[in-house]
Amino acid sequence: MTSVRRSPTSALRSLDSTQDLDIVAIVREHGPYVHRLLRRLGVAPADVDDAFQEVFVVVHRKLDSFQRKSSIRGWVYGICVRVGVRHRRRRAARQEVPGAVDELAGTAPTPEATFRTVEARRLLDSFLDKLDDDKRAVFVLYELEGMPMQDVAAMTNCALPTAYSRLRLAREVVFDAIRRFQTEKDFK
Amino acid sequence: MSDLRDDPSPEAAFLRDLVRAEEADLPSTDKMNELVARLSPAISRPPASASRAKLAISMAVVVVAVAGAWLSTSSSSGIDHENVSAPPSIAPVATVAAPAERAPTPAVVVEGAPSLPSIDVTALPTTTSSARPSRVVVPRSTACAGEVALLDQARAALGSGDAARALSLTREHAARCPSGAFTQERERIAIESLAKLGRLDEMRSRAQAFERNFPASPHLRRIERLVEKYRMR
Repeated sequence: MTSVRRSPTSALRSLDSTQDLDIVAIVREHGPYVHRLLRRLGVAPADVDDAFQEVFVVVHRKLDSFQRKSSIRGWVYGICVRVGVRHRRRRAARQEVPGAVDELAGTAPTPEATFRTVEARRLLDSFLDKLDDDKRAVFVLYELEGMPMQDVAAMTNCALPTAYSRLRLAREVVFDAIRRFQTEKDFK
Repeated sequence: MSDLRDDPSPEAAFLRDLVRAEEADLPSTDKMNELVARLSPAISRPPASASRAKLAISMAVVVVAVAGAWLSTSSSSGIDHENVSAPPSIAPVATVAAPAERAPTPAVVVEGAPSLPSIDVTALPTTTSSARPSRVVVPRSTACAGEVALLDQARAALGSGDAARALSLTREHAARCPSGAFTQERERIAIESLAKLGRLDEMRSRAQAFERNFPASPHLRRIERLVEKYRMR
């Protein structure tokens, strides 16, 4: 085997998209990643559980209309993007900033999370927070979730060149944030 | 545009390390059970299609209107309020938000109302809580006690260089939790353990099986990197 990277032509893709459209199975299979994706997309820690509920209520409601030519994962992630943006805007409209509860929710270690994991999450969030919704969605889906750019463009409802352009700009912003962070760290 | 993983810049390397450390930060089994339990009331019934929902609403509106008209007629015609007639339309009014199939047909209400028998209010049954489940039952098929702790131990063993113990713990996990919530995590640890132990053929075949079983897994990228790393050996 030379590579295990998923590809659109992989026979496994059909497995993902045509089997077992039972909602509980979908929640079990994709739920943990949806939860993480919502956080990566910038949903406040205190809102992630609510956003998670919203995503799967939509999945449940629209399961009958799911086009099986695409992957369940891509379809569910597309819903995540829309729900995530809605939550971020709702919070922004309330002019709320993450407070003490959010901080706790965001950093309290789960049994799985080592200190290193929590610290990595906090740092990653701080870099991603520099991006607007559109760039953040493209960056997260492509770079962190490993989705093909065609799918990312479809999920974020933009043309392919626009998606690439957003990715390029997002990388500049994130890399710049990393450079600043490292400079500050070295300075201290 | 190249992937982040192909980018040789120090910023990309830093970001790759960060993402690798953050990738494992998934909700625990308990947390997932809690989320599924919260979700259960919303997903345990079949979704109502838009047309059926619309039909239910319009029917409910008719029911409310007819019931209202009937009640106002009754009160103005001097009916004894100690003896309240109980048209079937009263109860359905409360089911406005219920699924379409439970909404009453207007015909029943319209035709039934004038000839309904009177029932003393004290004879009416009291509501019981049995109509609504008091607690949500979480499907147990994927829940497995101690799963997280077991995988934590496996991860720690692998991290400390004891790949043989990590592999043995993943075997134990497979035996105890064949359909656990962290099967992908178990497989990832097992694959990495096999690589460290130099059992490369087994590692490759297990990686292929992983791709077959979890084509959309976020762990795939990491496993792919591992397979690439040992490709020439």
